[in-house]
Amino acid sequence: MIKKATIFDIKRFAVHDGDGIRTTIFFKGCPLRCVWCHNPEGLTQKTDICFFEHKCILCGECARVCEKSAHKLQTNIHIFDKNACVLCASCEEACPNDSIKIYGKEVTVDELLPILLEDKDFFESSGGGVTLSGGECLVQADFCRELLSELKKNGISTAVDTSGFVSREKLNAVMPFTDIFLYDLKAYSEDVHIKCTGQSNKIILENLKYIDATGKPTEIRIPYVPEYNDGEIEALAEFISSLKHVTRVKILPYHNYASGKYAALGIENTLPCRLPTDEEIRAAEDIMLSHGIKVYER
Amino acid sequence: MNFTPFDVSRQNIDRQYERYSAAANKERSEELYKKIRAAFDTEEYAVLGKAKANEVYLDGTELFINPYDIFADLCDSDVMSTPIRIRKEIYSSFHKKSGEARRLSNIGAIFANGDYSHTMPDWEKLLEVGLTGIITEAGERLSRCEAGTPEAAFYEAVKITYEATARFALRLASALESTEGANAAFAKENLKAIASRAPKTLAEAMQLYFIYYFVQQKVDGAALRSLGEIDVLLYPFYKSDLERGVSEGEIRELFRYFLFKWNSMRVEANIPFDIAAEPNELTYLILDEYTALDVHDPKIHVKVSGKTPERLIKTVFRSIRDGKNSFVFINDKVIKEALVGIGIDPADAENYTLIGCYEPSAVGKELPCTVNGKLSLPHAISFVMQDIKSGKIKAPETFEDFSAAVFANIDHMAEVAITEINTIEKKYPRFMCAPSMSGTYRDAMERGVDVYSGGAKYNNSSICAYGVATFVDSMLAVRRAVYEEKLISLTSFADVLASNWQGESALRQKILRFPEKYGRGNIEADKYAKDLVDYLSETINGRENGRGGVYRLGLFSIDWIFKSSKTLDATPDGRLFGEPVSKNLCSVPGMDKNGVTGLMRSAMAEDHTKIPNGAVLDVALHPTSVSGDEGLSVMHSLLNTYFMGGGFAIQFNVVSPETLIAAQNDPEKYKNLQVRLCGWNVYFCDLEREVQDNLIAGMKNV
Repeated sequence: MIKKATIFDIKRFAVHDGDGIRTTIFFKGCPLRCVWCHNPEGLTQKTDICFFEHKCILCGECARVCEKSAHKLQTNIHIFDKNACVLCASCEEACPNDSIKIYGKEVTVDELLPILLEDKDFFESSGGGVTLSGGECLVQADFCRELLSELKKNGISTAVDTSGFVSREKLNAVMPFTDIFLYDLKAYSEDVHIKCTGQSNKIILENLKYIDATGKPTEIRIPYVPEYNDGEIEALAEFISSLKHVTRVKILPYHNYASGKYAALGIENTLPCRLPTDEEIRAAEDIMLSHGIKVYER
Repeated sequence: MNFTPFDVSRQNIDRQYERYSAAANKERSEELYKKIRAAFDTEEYAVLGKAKANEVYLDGTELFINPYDIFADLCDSDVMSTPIRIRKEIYSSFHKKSGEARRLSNIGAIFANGDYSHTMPDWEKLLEVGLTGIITEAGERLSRCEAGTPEAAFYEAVKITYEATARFALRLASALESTEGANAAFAKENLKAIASRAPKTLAEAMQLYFIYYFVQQKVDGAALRSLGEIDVLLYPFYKSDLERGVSEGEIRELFRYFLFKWNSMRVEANIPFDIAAEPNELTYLILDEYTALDVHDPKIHVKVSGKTPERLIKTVFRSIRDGKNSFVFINDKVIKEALVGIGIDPADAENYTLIGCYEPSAVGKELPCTVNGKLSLPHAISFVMQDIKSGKIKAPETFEDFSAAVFANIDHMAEVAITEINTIEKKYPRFMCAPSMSGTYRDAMERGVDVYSGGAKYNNSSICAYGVATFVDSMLAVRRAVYEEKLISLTSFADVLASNWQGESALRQKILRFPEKYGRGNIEADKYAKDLVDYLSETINGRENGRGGVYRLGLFSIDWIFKSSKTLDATPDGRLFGEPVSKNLCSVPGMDKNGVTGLMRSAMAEDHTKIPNGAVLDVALHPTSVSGDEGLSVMHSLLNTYFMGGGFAIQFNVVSPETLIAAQNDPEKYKNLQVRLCGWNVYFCDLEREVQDNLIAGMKNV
């Protein structure tokens, strides 16, 4: 049977998902529930429909094409009944202003590969390649393995952006075809991790040690979320400094720009309120530096 | 060197030319014009008449002195338009546009005219031999000529013009005699020097630049559009100044005055310069000073070859990223091939300059005339649609037949433009000549023929086609909507376009979402664009012009896209009446939905060596995508990929908050604008208004 995966975006000219110019594929579905998640459209593996109210120009095209009457237009208001929607995508196609978006599309390796190879020249001149991200791409590890192996056959550099909250088996599946892991660490203390993500971090830390022991390089990414994991930096730095193949650490300042997406998805907005200051981020980076860890230059 | 620090003088140099324009005296100008015109009319040969007129002009105009400048060139600016006025008077006395040329011009489909304005002298020769060197050469050649011949008239014209130029320098010097201040004294010495011999110092070479520019641009009326590779041209003077003990600080001061003086002319002229593909230490000094001046003019052409060091490119990118975006990158290899493609000897193509915006020209060998003609490609489609609507032709049954009708229109437009231009060019010897520039062209001096009468080694002309993406998308839209999916008949489509899509917004939306659009790396659209460029190359390149040269195809559009949009019906790609057509090698706005790499792939699909008059791609990048050292590497990689893929020229925009505001007001056109939020890139238009506002506010000082 031909393997399929559910993805929610392909982003070309991605310059922050590993080295150089890259194309990043966002896989749908994630086992963690980080309160600060900035890609909530990637949380579930099922297809989601988003209605961005602020972009709607009230033209009524969607109501015209919808066979289930999920879109209703009244004077100056557009009412979308998500329960009536069968995700046929005709409104997405009809909308002239991209205010309706369907997140989640089934793809095969054969469909993806030509798209990923389009920018090969750019990858080569910049030292870039393809990044698998999400959601948590390794939820669909079998597919990832096949895709990565095809990419390697075509001489493409590969990166896997993972939360590490996956079975060893899944990790092993992609390991031979992955040039670098972009590995997210949210907390060192288990209780903090549970509070932030709903899950223990035991597997995550073990998996990272395991990857490191194989000699595979990793870039560590730490979202910095005040009042959630801001007390974890020292412990994380200590842990990271015990690893041998970490290329660098990126401290990612938490932002709340995804709030619009929560509203559009019609799911509960869990985003924390307080944003980190520049000083806090710099202090976190300094802690890393003081442990002899290379930090990404912003 | 003794003069006032630049920073003290700066405000009195800024916009100095405007001030002098305001001071000009209309009555006196009219009087002078009459004298100049009379001098011009006394001679049988226009070139000699021109020289006599130049003499009256240079000897007779009132001088304006700016005591704050260290270089002098100012003259009664109200009569500066005199040569152009005389040219127009003579021209209109015997030339009338053909009926068809006038009709097509009036509706914005073509432009066809003489081009007297895209030139550069052989600066190297001028700086080497000076005014006096050319006077001597012209005198010697004149003495070997039979009197009364056209050659004698030409040499005499060159001699008269250069002698008058030297006298003009001395007039300025003596006027400065009575002017107080160190700067006036400094300028005076340099003027005296260049009136009597070739320049020896950097300051003298710079002064010669200004005097010469003034004479060619204002007196001969042949607009000058490049200072050449100034880092190479001025290098020997820089070196010898250093050797005789001038400090680097003093040299930097000279460059501040030099660069800023060109900047102060920005209102009336755009005079770019090149920097060499293989830079020297002066290159960096110039870039350094240019950046520190915080100006946007003159524009700078950065030549890039395999030997261009990363340091240079990154220096330029850093400046672009800081919002100092006067740079266009030029692909050395492709340009040389393109020039060779229109018959220029490989050795001559080695030394080229970019005239005006991006138009390459063999230095001292070619008079390229880069904007004789323009073709608005989408008009060729519109004409077919109009003919169907009016019943003049029956709707073609197949796409091939439709296409043949469209391309027949392109042929016709090109033919009318070429015929019109050639007719004008054949009359050049009667009204257009430039003894100043001719004196620097070795071939013109050997042959005794003015550059505008065919004296250069290559006497070429140019035609630019524009609206490429609008054309490609429109043709493919017709193919799919009418002939493949049969969503509408061609006859009805013609009505829809004439009515500006009235009542057909659903069809329009559907067409806007067709996949085959130029600018997103769509293989079909790219192939179509490639074939189009090949076709245009066959139609234009190498065609004979009216001065013994050939035509060069260009694919840049400047601001013409706005003018012709007012005369062009709605187009099949979904464009509404009144919207501009696509610019340069860019996509139709908003159609580059795969971002910068997709846009570049579309542009790289065409063979740019077949576009000898130049083609540029505009790329917008958001500052957050290219921040830090890694950002510079990303920009460099984009450039490398584009040039290795055969791109001709590229200019980057690291987008400002203003653009974000425009994106808020018109999100459809800015769909692909990415912003980096901390560690991630997101699409700006997908963000909530509040978030967008916040980002804009945070970028206020970017």
